[in-house]
Amino acid sequence: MDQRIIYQNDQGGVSIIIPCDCGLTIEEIAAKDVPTGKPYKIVDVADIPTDREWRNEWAVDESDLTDGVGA
Amino acid sequence: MAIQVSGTTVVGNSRSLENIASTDATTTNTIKNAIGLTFTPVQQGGGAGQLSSNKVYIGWSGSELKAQVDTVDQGAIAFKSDIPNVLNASGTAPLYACRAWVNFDGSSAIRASGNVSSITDNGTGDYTVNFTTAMQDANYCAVVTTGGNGTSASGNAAVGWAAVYASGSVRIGVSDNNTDAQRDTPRCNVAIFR
Repeated sequence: MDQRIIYQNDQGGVSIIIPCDCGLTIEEIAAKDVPTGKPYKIVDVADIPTDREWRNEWAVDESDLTDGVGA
Repeated sequence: MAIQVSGTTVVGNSRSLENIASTDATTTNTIKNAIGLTFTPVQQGGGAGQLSSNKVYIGWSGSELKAQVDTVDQGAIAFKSDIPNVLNASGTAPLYACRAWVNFDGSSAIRASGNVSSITDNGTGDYTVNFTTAMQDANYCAVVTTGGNGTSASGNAAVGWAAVYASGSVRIGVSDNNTDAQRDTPRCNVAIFR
């Protein structure tokens, strides 16, 4: 899949879900694998930075996470 | 066809034995007794999810029990006792199957997997493996290994370990073998046994 699911983790950083080809849609994976109550957004893989030198400093504005909430 | 059992007609003229067997167990038993069958016949098809119009052959090859549906050979039927041999396992020790596995790039890509719906990249050297179908509990054995870039056996090694066990996922860490600092790795392998 060329999409990723992002949400703000408990440390305030960004967690990025990389979906497997498992027979589930990305929406189904989001509902299942995003922690309960966490808002998320589905983005294109191209939107994820490739330079991971400062990976733990990545941040996201929770107000931008508008595609759903973990079940 | 009309069959007399003890002087009573039990089957109408237009019904075949096939129809009787599929619709009326009591009549089937009556017919079985009337024609002298000493066993209960097995019906071909008609069960849940089964077609009824195929012809199924089951026969002994001299060394294996084989099945064929219409013109298509289905090969030999495997029995419970055959499973160790099918898996090339000798001896009598029990077998415990891998319930989930994944080989992924420690930063962005999943190469292959089984019963894994996704990997969550939580940060450098910090990942969660999410199972498509959850384990029965969190008491499974999680085997975590790391690998290099596939071009050389030299270089700085990384160590992977399972940190947080849950029935639906396992969170793993990867650290540098020398500094203990968490780091990404070109390959991370996780296998779950239960």
